[in-house]
Amino acid sequence: MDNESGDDAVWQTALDWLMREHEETLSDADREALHAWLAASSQHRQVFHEAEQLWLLTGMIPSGDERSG
Amino acid sequence: MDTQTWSAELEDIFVNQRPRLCCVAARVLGNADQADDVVQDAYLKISEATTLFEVRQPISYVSRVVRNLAIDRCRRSAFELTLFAKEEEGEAASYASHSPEVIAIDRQALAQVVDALDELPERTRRAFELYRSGSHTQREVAHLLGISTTLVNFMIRDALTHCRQSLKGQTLSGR
Repeated sequence: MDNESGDDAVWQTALDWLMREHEETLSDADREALHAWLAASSQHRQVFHEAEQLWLLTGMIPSGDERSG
Repeated sequence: MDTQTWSAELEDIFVNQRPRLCCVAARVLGNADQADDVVQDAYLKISEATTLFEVRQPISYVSRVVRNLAIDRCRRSAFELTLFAKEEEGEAASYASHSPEVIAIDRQALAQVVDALDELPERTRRAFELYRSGSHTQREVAHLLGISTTLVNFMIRDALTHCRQSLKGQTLSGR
């Protein structure tokens, strides 16, 4: 894997944002911080996009209570 | 439930519960403008995704997916607004052009994610499910499982990272 440690740090930051957003409505300041982070590098955008796609997929899976069988 | 019965039930929910579902979306979005769009998007995605699952509590599942997609839509439109405000172009703008409509549910990727989650240690899988699908906060998950919030935080990261690696592995082996 290329640039593994740097990529992992970016991945973890992307997860931080998604988890925060999942738990609370981001304040305007938070949202600005997220946008600044995304605007800072194409790697940030690419990894964040990957994380939000995965996040969306996991959100499509029914929970144990919602699922049968 | 066979596929046909499920399709009929799904359609029934989206027709008869539409005002309620639009309400769920509008509450997240803060206005009603895009709510109908989000609900339609949810219908398409759920039709794709649920070929993989049997859903026993369709209303609660559908409402939750609508809410998820509304949150997703919010994030994207807020980012687009920032971009317009800054009049940026190029790569940053291309991020915003990934509108929710163009992101179809990749059924194969979804199946891969389901398998990856099943590979996790039982407690990690449970913590992740409570967090993501059960819509509990990390603190609540910690309380429910009798473990620390810090551990829950690590488990959620582990779960998502494991899914990511699994999807990457598939890409590599698929070449």
